[in-house]
This record gives sequence, structure tokens and C-alpha cells, in this order.
Amino acid sequence: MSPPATLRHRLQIKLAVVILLAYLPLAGLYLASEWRGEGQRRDRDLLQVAGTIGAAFRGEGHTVETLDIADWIAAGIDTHEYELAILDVEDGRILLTTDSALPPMVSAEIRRTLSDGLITAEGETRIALRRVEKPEGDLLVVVSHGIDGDLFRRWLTQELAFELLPVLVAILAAALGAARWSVRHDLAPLARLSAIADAIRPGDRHTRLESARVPGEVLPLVTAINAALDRVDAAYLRQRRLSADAAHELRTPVAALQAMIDGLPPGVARTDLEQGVRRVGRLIGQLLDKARIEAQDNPQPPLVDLVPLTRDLLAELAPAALAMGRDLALIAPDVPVLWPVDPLAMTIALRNLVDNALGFSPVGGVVEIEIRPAGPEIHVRDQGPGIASQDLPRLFDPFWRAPGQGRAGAGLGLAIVAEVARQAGLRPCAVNRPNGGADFALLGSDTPEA
Amino acid sequence: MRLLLVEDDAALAEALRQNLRGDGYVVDHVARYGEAEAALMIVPYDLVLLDLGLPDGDGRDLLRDLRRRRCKTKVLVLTARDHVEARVGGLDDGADDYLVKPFAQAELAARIRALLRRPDDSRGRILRCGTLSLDTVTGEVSAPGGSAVLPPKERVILTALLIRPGGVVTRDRLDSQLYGFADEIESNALEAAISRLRLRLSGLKAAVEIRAIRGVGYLLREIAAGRAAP
Repeated sequence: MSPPATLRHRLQIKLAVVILLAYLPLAGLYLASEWRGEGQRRDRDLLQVAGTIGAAFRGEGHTVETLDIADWIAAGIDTHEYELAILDVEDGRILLTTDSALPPMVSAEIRRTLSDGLITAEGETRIALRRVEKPEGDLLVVVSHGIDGDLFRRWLTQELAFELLPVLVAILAAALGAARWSVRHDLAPLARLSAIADAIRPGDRHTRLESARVPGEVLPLVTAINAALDRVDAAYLRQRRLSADAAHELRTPVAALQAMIDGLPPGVARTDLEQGVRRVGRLIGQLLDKARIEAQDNPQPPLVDLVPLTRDLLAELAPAALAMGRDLALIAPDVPVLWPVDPLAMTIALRNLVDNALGFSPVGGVVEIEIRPAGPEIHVRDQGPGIASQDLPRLFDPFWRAPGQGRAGAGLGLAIVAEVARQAGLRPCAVNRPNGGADFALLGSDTPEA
Repeated sequence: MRLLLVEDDAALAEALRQNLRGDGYVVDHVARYGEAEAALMIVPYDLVLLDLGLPDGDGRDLLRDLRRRRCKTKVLVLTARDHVEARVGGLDDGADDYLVKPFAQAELAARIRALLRRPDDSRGRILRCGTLSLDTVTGEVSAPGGSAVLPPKERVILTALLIRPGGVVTRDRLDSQLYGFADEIESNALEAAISRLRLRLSGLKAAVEIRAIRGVGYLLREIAAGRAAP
């Protein structure tokens, strides 16, 4: 598909057509008037040439035998521009001619009766006559501008080439240049608007197109786009409220169930119910995490320092880990480790990795989180049983759980990790440690491929 | 102790009320924003259990309004929102603590206990954890084994740890609080002060421990036998 015609192009084409339509009739009128003046000028020319030749010929010593075109050239007559003939008045004998078609145009009657003057022969050919009286018999000088009919064409070509076309070209160039400048100047605000629109990102709720310096014709479009953005923003807010409501609607009944179970007397049934409700609660939490992360795929996330983000998360998780008899440790550099990632999504992913590692850790085990600036790399290492080699390829698939795994999980935790990693341009990776346990890692793009 | 439970889900409210009564609290329940406002005007509650999503208003408005009136009633937010969102949102509005639904009764009971014994303002008051108490004005620390006056650095650290017993205080925060003591800004200043504090507390037979979470920070917790997991 060809690119759409630009406004400049359209305007220039229309201007060119209008200019041509206005110019052509004017040029026609001009030519008609010029051609009339041209005829009079030519007639004067012919008479003058005929007079010059006649005068040269009248003198003593000039006879028919001494007629020579070279003499006329010497007298300043351009023989390329004129056709000449010299006739004997009495018998119409052609004494000399440059064009054999010229003499027959002068009839015997004219030859005999007319002395000096102009006649119009067939084909609008103007002919000047000059009678020269000589002792041996009168002669008639016949001069014309040529009778081949291309006189007008030659004149027109000259007029066009040196008068009409230069003017037309100058007018067109000025008009098209003005159109080009005007379009570029007047549409410059649109380039700024498209830059603004281009920078609008999901979740960016307040950016609107500016209407300052925008041409009046474009203003309704800007207003309409801003109104559309307002509507999209309202829908976005409704959607966000909807997912907050969904979280509320899903979690509250589970909380009620949990509170009811907590009110039951201790026993096997209560323990089973507690496990069941914990599993439902976990699943709902993960589904909400997953939905939110998929909904907020921000193509330009902010640069986040991974060290304090991880430290705050571990501070939050540590009391529960200690209560379960597991310990946490963070190995991180003293310098910021910056990476473009949505901080909320990254926190959820890391929490899933640490939760997962805590779940597989034996009592007394340490879950070790290491952040390496090169890459960057984030490792979450446990001292659990490690990963069976046949499970490695499916580890990050949604709803997949290792066969026979006793933990209450929906199999969504690592899938969420994989989705966050994909959005953040990190590679999720899981290996077994040489001395036992698993090592889950998120690897940055400048990490060399293992 | 009289609690106000603001929760629009009838089943959850009823179960919570029964459980809390079992723990010895007097519980009033309201399901609407307007009722909660009215109840708070009339009764000086010790603590409010506040659900944020109410049918006729946002619980956060109630919270902000409460704080604007300089009401010192403790507020424990029960939220269906995620941990991270609650951390950045709800607490900034003046909640004292929050719990993400669903939660275990034991956890709720522990949080309520912690809030009710927490002083209204940690400055100029006695901070406690189990049998340990600290007078933050005089720096006097008391435990079954006796009492002692803490040097300034140890006092700053113990105050920070006692404001939220069982919670982790990050290294960055402790470091920034110690930063005022310009006499020694060495990399192990924090570790040295912590180990002196540990020695002193065990000398006083305080039933608490200061746990280091490597690379993260420190937490102080009770080590009473048979203590329920938080």
C-alpha cells in the first residue's frame, strides 16, 4: 500500500490546477493581441526589405545578369528569414527566386497593375511588391516571409519559450513553495501532538493533547481525542475498581469460612478444613496476582533498585519464616542494582520464589537470596530436596505441580514468576545446587548464556 | 476492652464476633459507613476492625476522618487487597496495622493484643515486649533479672525494635538512626551495639531474643515457652 497523500501534495496539486486554469485563457488573449501586432510589424519588415532590394537594384550597372544574393546579405537582409523572387513585369519571366512556390502567387494582373505595396496571397501569405524601372524592361521585386505555413508555429514557439513559460514557471514555483511552507508551518503543532500521543502508556491517566497553536480545523479532532481518552480513563478506573471489588468479593467469603472454622472445637475435621481453606485462599491470591500482572504489562517500566525492594520484602516475610523454623538471608551489594521493572510485579514474583523455597526447606534450613549486579542476577536458593530432572522443563507452566507434591499449591506461583520475568526482560531459570537444594534465578539480558 | 467491627459481610462478621467474644472482648458490629461514623461518635472504642470495602462508602475515608479529628482509637484494617498495595495505601491513611483476608483467628488475636498494649505514642512512653520494658525517656530497661540504664546507641536500637515487636527493622533504618552519633561511623557500629545490647538483655534475664536476618535487618521477639506462633 502506498503511503497516504500528504496535505502538502494535495494542496500543491490543487493550486497548480487552479493556476493553470486561470493562466491559459489569459495567455490565449495575450497571444491573440500579440499576433495582431506581429502581423503589422512583419508587413513593415517586408516593405522595408523590398524597398532595400529595389533601391540596390535600381542603380547603374545592375542588370539581371549581375543579380546576386550575396549583395543583399551584404545589405543586411537575412536570407534565412525571407523568400525572394524577381520577375519580369512584362512577360512574368522568373529572373531569380529562392522558392519556386513564390512567383506563381503573383498573378499576371497584379504583376502588371500593381507597382509597390502588399498583397495577401492564398494561405494568408503576405507578399510585398516593389517595381523597379530599368531601361531593358521593368522588374518586380517579390518578398515574403515564406509560404510553408510554419511561420505561426515558429512565432508561437518563441513566444512560449521566452515569454509565457518563464512567467508560468515562476508563478507555479512561488505558489507551490508558499503551499509547502504554509503547510509545514501550520501543521508543526500536529507533530508535537503526535509526540505527546506517542508517549501515552497504559496506566498513564493524565496526559492529554494540547490545543495551543493548533489550527482551528484540527481543534475538533484534538478535542474529540481528549474526550475519547477521558472515556477510556473512566473505563480503566471502572476496571481497576472491578478487580479490587473482585478481590474483595472472593477473599471475604473465604475469610468468613476461616473465621467459622477457627470457632470450631479442635479436632481432625477442623485441621482438614483449615488446610482446605488455606489452599483456597492461596489460589485466590495467586489468581488475583496473575490477573493483575497480565493486565498491567507496561512497555516502559521505571528503573527500580532491586536491593531495597528485596530487603523490604524479606523483612515482611521473615517473621512468618522464623515462626516456621526457617531462616532467610540476603546477599546483596552495597551499590544500587537498577533494572526496569514494575515494582509491584517484581515484589509478587520474588515473594512467590521465596514462598516456594520456604515450602521446600527443611526445619532449620536457610533460604538464601542473592542479588548480583552483573546481569543482573537474582538467585533464590533452598536446602530442600531439589528438582527432579524430568520436572525441570514444566516448572514454569501454569497449573503444573510436581506429581506427588504434598504442598498445598495451585501451581500458579512459578507461572506468575515466569510472566513477570517475561515482562521485565529477565530469564527465569531453575537448577539443582551441587550440594543439594534448588536454585531459582531471574537472569538479566546481559548475562552470558550458560 | 470494647471493639467496633465494621464489616459488611454478615457471615464473616458473625463468625469474627463470636471468636472475639470467646477471647473476652466486647464487640459491636456495624455493616455500613454511616453506622460506623455514628458509633464512633458515641462510644470511645479501644480498637476498630475496619473493612475497607463498604457498600455506602470507602473505609479509608472513615480512617482519614478519624485521624483528622485526632481520635487516638486504634484501627486494624481488614483488607481484601494485596500485601504490597495495603502497605503503601492503607497504612499511610493512618491505620495502625492491617490484615489481608483471609486470616487465621490466632493471627487476628495476636495483632489485636499487640495494638492494645502498644502505647498511643512511642515517644516518652514505656515500650514492652513480654517481661521486658523500656522507658524511652530515661533509657531505663527492666526485666525479671533487674534494671539498667542503656547507653544512647543501644537505647535507639532497642526503641526501634520494640515499636513493632516480632517485626523486622531493616539495617538501613537502624543505620540511619545511629547516624547521628558521629563518634564512630564504622561499618560494624551496628553489629557492635547489637551484640552489647544482647549481652545486657541476657544479663537482665529478659525473655526476648534479637534475631539477625542476614542482609535484611533485626527483629526482637519473645522466647516464652509454648508461645503461639504469630
